[in-house]
Amino acid sequence: MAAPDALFWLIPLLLAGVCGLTCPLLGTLLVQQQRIQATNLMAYAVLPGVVLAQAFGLPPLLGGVASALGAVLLAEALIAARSDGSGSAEAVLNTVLAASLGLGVLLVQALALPVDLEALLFGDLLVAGPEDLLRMVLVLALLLAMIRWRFRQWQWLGLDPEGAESLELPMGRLRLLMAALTALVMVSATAAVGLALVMALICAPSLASLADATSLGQALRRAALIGLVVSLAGCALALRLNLPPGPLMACACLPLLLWLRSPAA
Amino acid sequence: MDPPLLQARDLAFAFGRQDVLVGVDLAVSPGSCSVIRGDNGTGKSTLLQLLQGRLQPARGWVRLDGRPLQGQRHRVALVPQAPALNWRYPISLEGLVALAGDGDPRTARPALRQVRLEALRQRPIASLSAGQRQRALIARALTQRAAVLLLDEPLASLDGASRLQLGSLIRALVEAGSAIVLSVHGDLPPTLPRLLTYDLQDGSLHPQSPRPSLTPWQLPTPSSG
Repeated sequence: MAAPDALFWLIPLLLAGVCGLTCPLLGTLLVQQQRIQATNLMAYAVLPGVVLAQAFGLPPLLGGVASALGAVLLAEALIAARSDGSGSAEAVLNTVLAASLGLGVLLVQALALPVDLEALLFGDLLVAGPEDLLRMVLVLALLLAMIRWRFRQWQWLGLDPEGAESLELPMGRLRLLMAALTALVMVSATAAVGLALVMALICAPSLASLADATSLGQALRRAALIGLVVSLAGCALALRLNLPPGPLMACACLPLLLWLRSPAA
Repeated sequence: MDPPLLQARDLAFAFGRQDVLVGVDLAVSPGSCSVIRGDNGTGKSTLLQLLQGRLQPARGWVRLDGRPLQGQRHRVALVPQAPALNWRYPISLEGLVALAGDGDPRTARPALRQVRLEALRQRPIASLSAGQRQRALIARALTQRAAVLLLDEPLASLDGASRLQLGSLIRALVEAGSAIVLSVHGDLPPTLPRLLTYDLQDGSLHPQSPRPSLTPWQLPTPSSG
């Protein structure tokens, strides 16, 4: 039987694989709903919540999810209060993003907490434990259940939200559910692989899978497969070359995007 | 006496301080085709959105079968001139139409047959022409079992053959009992059924005398496609 130290790579590899499945599945829905800007905001808005949770001895997951959700709801309220066109929505989202990040950094300094900003950006896959893996598996199971439970409504939300409103489908509640799921995936995956890789895994496999997909189901399956291959291969390569897995896997997403580009492009 | 299928009374709407509609009354019966004519910017699209419940009037009300629209808006389908629909979405024509039902593609087939798009049912929606998209959205409205169809400038982006085809389709739907309200500016295809025409001017609707429909032997034959 192998010594425990000899299997140090197993949990990081499995965790990379689960993140590689989870993030692209969520990303495919988010790309179709044009929610990537809001997702980026949530990625950075995690910081103040994690810092405050750490300061008050609460679970960082709770603080991060609350902070990310709060930031996106604040941004949406500010966008709704304006009537000067869609361009202003991006500006509002980016302003709230910058403010959230700034607030997080200020809190780290003011509370003198040992928060590793580099680990937040690129994760620390090699120190992940079984509890990180279990949490990500549970998040993946929840995401799959939500996709299956509301499949038709996710299609409406990505295809024709105005038409869905006309049918009096509960689009407001569905958007809130999507924001909560995004925050949960974001915070859970960030602890393992970092913000940069989470965003890369949300965007690149989804874009590649949507290029010539004929149905949402097909796009989801393809995105999950591409994400799984990129994550496992990137993590294995990083372990072999003794490089940090997060940055290497994030870099691997760019050629993926160029290789699997849209045939219409 | 039964109330009209769709009824609007004393509707008023303004964008900011700019009055768009003032005191609009309209009654729509099953198996009728009402045409709202008016130049660009006279408020035709706004009126249709009020009739569907997408916009709330500043004054007045809209009722369906004598009851408020809320809770039964799915029975009034609006096909906008430029729908905010993601035509690049990965879905087939059949899938798009079935979404308005229970999602089962088989539920889309009767409506697709009715709008003569059954042969294209497995095509991705991105590959449909403007006229086919228009008919696809009408098929979706039929699948959601809408009692009233509101068509906003349905003829605007169509070529001659497609206009005739759409006219024939509207005629068939009216004969099958649907109530249709369409907004237009410009000429109407001769294939449309007998019309109740209204002019929208200065925010008010003015009924015109009905235009008789052509008898079948007078109709031009629409080309396929």
